[in-house]
Amino acid sequence: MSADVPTVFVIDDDRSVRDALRRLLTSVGMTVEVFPTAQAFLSARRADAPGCLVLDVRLPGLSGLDLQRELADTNATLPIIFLTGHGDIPMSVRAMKAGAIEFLTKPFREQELLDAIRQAIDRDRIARTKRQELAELRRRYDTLTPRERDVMAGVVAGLLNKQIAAELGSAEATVKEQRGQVMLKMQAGSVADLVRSAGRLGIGPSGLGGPGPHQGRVDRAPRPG
Amino acid sequence: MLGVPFCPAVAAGRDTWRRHVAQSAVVRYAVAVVAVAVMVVLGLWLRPIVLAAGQLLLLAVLVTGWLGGLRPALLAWGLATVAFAYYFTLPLDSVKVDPGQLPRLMIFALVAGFMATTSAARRRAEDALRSARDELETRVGERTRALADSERRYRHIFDSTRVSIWEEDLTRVKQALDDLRARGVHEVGDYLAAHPEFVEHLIARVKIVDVNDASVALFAASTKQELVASLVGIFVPETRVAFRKAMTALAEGRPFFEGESVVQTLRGQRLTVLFTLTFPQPPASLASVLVTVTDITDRKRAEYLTGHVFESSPDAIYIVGRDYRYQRVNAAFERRWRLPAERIVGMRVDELAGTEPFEATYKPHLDRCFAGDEASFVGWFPTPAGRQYLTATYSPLRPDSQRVEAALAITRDLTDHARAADALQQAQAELAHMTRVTTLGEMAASIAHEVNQPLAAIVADANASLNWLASATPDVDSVREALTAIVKDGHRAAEVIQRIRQLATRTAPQKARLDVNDVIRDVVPLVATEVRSHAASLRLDLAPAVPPVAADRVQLQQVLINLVMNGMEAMTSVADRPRELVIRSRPHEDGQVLLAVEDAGVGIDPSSVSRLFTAFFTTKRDGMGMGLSISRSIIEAHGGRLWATSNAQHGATFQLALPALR
Repeated sequence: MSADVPTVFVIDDDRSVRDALRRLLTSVGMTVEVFPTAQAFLSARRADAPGCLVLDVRLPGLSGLDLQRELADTNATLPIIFLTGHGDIPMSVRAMKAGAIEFLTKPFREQELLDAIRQAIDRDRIARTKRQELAELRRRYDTLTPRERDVMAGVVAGLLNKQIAAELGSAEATVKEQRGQVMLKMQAGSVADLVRSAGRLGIGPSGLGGPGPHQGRVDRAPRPG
Repeated sequence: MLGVPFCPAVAAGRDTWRRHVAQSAVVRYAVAVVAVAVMVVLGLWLRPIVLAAGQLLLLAVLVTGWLGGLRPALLAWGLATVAFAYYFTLPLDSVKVDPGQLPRLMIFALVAGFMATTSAARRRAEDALRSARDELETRVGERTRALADSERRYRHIFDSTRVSIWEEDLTRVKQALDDLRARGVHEVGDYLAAHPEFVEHLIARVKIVDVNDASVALFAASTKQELVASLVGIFVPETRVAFRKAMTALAEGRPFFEGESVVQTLRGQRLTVLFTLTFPQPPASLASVLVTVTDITDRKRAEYLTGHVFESSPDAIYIVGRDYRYQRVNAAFERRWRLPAERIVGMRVDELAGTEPFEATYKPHLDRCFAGDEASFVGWFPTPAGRQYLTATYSPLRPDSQRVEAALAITRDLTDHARAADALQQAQAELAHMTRVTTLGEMAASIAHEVNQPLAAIVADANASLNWLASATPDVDSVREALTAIVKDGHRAAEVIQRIRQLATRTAPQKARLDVNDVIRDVVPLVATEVRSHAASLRLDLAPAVPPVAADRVQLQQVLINLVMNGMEAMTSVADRPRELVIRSRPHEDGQVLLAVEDAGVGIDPSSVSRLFTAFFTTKRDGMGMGLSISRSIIEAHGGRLWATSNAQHGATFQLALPALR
């Protein structure tokens, strides 16, 4: 599937609601995938495309809020629009705090839902772009040799070549050459560019080798019943 | 004279002898010959002295007639006449008779013939008289013996009967009463009532002739003499009243008097007695009037007790004959119908109780009773005091035979109970309604969800349809699909609202024929959301065919919802096992239907088992503690049972059994 076609994922255990949502979103030209449970959604292969989740708060098994937490933990964040049959204030507060786009009460207005979905997809698209840029930076960073990473840390910390050489116990000429490699590999046009990239990678001035990408956690076993 | 027949001294011997003579004809004729011969000899002996000695032959005829009867007498007459002509007429000893002697012979023959007939007739008469006398003597003898027997029998009865008998001489009493009449007093009864001193006067004139052994025993006397001497000693005021009445009967010439009264023994113990007096009718004397006294104290007491039960019972009791007419009614029955017993007795049941209740209820049950069965019924019936809730039992009465003669009805007015029960039922219904509404409040979020689900689908589908119709080439198939879904969801929403309305509306409980499986399926959607929100699951394990029950659908739903909600509450804290709730239906023992709600929760604390179903007992922080109490009263009002047991592993099972309809 093309990366440009956004997909709306609907999870609702009520077949009527599920099917109606599928028909409604299809009628406005959206691509829709429906699931009766959170588990079914998690175990389905998803296309690498922008999208959002439309979730019923009260789902059998893994609840909507559980799923939200799960997705956040796996860093596979999808913007979530919560649907509920009734206004449950504590639950909506928790959902919004956890980053939900919208909390809609059934029966919802079409425009509100579509606006929320569009907003969510936009947000996902931006998030996805950011994630892609970060991934690119990380890929570039991964090509650096350990010595080059040390040099980069020094540059980001605002040290002169001489100071870096002194710290690393190497010749200034060597540091200069390695610095050139860093600027090249990181595709940084200026020191300021490099500092911004380092910031996004989470590489502090003092830390040589910031946090790596998160490893996906093993899914919790779905509860029976 | 010759001492022949007429000597009284030899009368007995003579009679014997005569009877002996009379026995044989030969002897009787021989008597004629012998008598004539004897007289001829005697006459011949005397002839020399006097010729008239021939007259002795008359004696022979006389004797023969006396002893032998007419025919020997005629023989003797013939012989005597011949002998007279031969021996005693001139010429003597010749058959010839002087013409001068002929008158004499003629006179002899005539006299002898007269004597023969007279003597024989006299003898016949005497014989007849004698036989009559003999017969009379025999009869008198028999009669005397019979009288002696009778007297003996009477004495035997008198002495050995267990009835007390007094033989009294009322001659002087009668005399006093007659004197009273002679003084112009005609209303003896009134006079005696007004003159107690005269009554005492009469009592004093009673002479006790004899009393029997039974009397001595009954009146606790030591001897007959003691009792005979103490008539006044057995009198109490009631006895005087009875005595007065008996004396009135005597004065009015009635042959008999019977009455009931009270007397006392010589030891002072009161006895209720039945007594009779038989007055011999004039001209017989009143010297021996028999008075019988029967002790009915025990019978009277038993009669009093049954009569007292009958009359003073707060239950209305009556007896109805096979003609459906009242034969006897008690005071409570009079009060119920506000009519005196005299008016009611003889009325037909329908005349008093109304035709419609009679045909619909009284008659069928009376007929069953007349057929020999006990019959009972309960219901509201119109009475002068308004509608009354009456329960009645009819028992067959068979006084003598096997045939039921009448029905004994015992009826009780349960109006107050029924009203109280109604009020209680109403209060319970209200309470049930209140808790139902409370439960609904607790379930409001779930219910809103349940209604909003189909509404959300409807709105979404409607929007989708609009979207499709707005495009240049409308997608008709998709629109049809969406509209079909809208119709379906519209109905679904309506159903949910209908169910909730049933639960929320306050209606009097109405029992109807129900399939418990249907009721369970009705409840599932109402609790489905609640189950989900507790992250629990609900499983149905329904028997394919359970007998129908008579129950109020809403109340049964309420009980089930209650049990399901309780079960889920109990599982809230459970994290180490599936939170599964199972609803089962099964045919149960004794024609019952069993419903069970089994949870996997924390189970029942043994210390609270006994209080589980009491009102206001709750283990929940915000519970009212009415749920199980109401549930149990609802089930019990349906004639069923509700109980709880702990499961073998986890949680508890609440079970209810309802009687199945046959």
